[in-house]
Amino acid sequence: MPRIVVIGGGATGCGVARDLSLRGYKVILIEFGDLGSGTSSRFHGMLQSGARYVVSDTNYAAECYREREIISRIIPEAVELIGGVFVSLKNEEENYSQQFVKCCDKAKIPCEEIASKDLLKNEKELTSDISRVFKVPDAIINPWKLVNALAEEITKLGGEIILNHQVVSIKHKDNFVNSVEIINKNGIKKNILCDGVINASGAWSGKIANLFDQDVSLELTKGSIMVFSHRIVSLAVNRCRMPSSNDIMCPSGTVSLWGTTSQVVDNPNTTKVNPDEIQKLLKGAEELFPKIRDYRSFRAWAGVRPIVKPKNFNKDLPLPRSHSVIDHQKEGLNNILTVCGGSLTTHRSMAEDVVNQIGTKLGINKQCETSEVVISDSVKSNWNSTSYFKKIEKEKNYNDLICECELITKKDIEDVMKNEEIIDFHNIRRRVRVGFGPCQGTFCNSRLANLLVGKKYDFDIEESILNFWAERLKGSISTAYGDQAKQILLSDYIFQENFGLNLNSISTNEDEVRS
Amino acid sequence: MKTDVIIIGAELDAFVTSIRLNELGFNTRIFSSGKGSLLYSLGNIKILNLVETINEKNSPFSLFDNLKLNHPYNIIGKENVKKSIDWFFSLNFFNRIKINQYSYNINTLSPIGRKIPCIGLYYKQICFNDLKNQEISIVEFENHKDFHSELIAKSIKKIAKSIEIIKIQQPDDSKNSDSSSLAISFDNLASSENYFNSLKKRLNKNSSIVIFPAVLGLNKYIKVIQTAEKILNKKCVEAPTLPPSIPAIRLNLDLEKEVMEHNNLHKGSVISKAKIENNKCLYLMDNFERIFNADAFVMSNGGVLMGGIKVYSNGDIRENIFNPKIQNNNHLLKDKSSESLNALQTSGVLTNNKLNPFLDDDSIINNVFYTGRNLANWNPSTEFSGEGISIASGWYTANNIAEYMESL
Repeated sequence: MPRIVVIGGGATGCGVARDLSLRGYKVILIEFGDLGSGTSSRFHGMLQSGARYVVSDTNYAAECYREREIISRIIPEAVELIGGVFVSLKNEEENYSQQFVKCCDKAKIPCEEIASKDLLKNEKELTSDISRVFKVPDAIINPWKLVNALAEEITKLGGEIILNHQVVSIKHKDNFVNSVEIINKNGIKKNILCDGVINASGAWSGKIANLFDQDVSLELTKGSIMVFSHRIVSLAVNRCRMPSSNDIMCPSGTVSLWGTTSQVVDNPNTTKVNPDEIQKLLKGAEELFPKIRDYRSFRAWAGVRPIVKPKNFNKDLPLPRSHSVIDHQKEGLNNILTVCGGSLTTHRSMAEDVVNQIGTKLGINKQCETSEVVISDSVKSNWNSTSYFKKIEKEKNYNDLICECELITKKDIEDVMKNEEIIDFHNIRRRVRVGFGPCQGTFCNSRLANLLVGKKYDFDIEESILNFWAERLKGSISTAYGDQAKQILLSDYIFQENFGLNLNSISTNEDEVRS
Repeated sequence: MKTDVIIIGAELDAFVTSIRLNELGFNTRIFSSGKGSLLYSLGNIKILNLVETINEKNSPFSLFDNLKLNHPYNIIGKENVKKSIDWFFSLNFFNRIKINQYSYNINTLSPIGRKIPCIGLYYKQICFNDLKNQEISIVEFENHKDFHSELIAKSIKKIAKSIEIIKIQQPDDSKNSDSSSLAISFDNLASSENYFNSLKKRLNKNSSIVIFPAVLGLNKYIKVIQTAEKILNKKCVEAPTLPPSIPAIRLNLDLEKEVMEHNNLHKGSVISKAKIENNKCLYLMDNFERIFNADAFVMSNGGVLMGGIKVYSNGDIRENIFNPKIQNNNHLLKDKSSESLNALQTSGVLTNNKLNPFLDDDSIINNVFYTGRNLANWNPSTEFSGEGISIASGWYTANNIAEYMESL
């Protein structure tokens, strides 16, 4: 079977590599940083029912719903089927909600109208200014669980995953790509021979395409999200209006996520949340949650969505969200495809599409199996605060809590450290949520360092503590008000005043920190 | 009993103000909402060292010229700061802790093993230079997660002759993971001789210094460490743990005990309103609308860090009891995190040279004084000045209050 290089270790890249592996291809996946460290983990965490796009793009909405069904069946441990509601406010026009109901029917998305008082019985923080409520099967997904489970399966099927490597050149001979050159952070280069390439690097697709002198017409929009402490809502709450900014509140783990903004950017690495975005987000959130400014927000982050821009598109309409497969044959290369657009919800069908197309090119006729093969048959994910305690009781790890906010034990960390690819604190953070809680790593950071120093890791430990804090600070400083302002100064008290670290001694271009 | 002065906050600056006022013949009533930020310090006394020009063995006072004119030290005045620090070290009521004063910055170790400059070390606090060319044993208690022995070992490796880390059982079998419970178990230890005798066999015979985590008791710590030195026949020192730290709790307890003997301390009280007339505060009110009268009022409630000053989501910064003029450095609008942090740290209440707050119309409240982290234009994190500002502003305020009372 042919060897295919997949570029990008987000949901799409991992989905493509899994699909290829199941069809018997030899797969090498290249990721610049860590799995799921780009856009895949920088969104509101919703596994779409499709209802959000049902009026603006009914076909895409129907695809979302089909995919939501498949994803929640093949990897139940990453998905919580919490359900969602679309609410219209009393001063809003009736027009959209009427269309919404019709289009849900057309896209076959189950949608049931319920009385607003029934919703308000459970959702105490919502405004009472609600006129209509539609219940839909929205779900939420843990992106890291998803990509790590996909990666595990890829490895089991014989595929290779190379993290922390950047693609520097794509070489071709007689209109066929034959190798991809990659480089690691220490400047060591490797050349990977292949029979085909799939560019699944999302917002970075354009940068990759530039390596073989191609353009991918993408519109990069930055979406910022605010994190609030606790589950303010138990369902995903959406505004019932044309999808735009400021319209989703999603519970996730121990927090709630409010988003998003939308701002066109040039650089896919742009992840800094601007002050005006925070004010816009708060203003928008106030319409649904009148007391939102009193809640503790412990950070904000941004992700960059890659949306394929059709030619001659009407600027007044929302950009279509469906994906595209770009064949670079026209420009003279026969065995390289770019897949982009879409969303995490549709990553599997995107993969199916692009792998079908590369099969046609290479003369391989194998059926897609990704919707049938179950990735893990472990128990359904059902978040509740006591699950952590149960685990600690079972493992008798009462005194080993490294991170009290997220209840992460020493054993959890040691298990993750067995993975060869762990090269910094952020890799650990993404796998076990250490440092994700309200204190944003204030108390677990140095404990983590003490566990790691002297082990197989030879990185500069002080710099790691500082970098971990700097990264946490970057997200939390943009919401430095209320209790979080106190928290940030407490962290500063501990890191600079007590530990003797100096934040100015690390010079990072904050927009370029992709962690 | 009539209250002369009401102090809001129970941190180093509040305690210093109260003790100094007692000396000058006034009594105080202290309102505390709970814990103060002192518990997060390392228990040592830092006056000044600037992170950008950090230098060993300089005198903190030689660095005053580098400070801006509106820095609290410059408002208080160098001579006053010196006097206040000397006064603090001359206090002789400390039971749990002894503090040694130095005339220049010496380096102690931080919980991750970096050098921290300070001019006051508590009894047996680790000192970086003492470790040079020594054979060192670091003792770590099983299950204690807040002592970073590996980080400290890595840091002192460059200067020490040899280092060993010994993991030993705790004094009792409760397997405490936190520093406080461990410290209490040392207080409750029936025979520390037996405990250290069993440790003796495990230590490197040639080691000259034994580093313990700073948890060797709360009340009986001096006795415990003296027993350890006697039995082990080696110099024993304490290295700091991740805050909240035990040495800071010892210091806090000593200060609190001294203050409570001569004054009223209300814990858990929240003052919410003040009555002001003709540039004078008449009384304060708590959450239950109870009225508290005094001749002067001190705001020592910890600035933004401890909630004395509040930051709002639109970027407003306010102190809600007296609504004084605030230096707001617009931290939410800065480009870089480090700039935002510095702007947040240096925001605070603006005062005249007596530490009376300015109101929006540039008038002042004559009998209200702000201290410590409430004050604007200083940054404890880049100056290593936390304890120094608290002591100096507390002492200076007490003197100013005495002067004000005389004028009545």
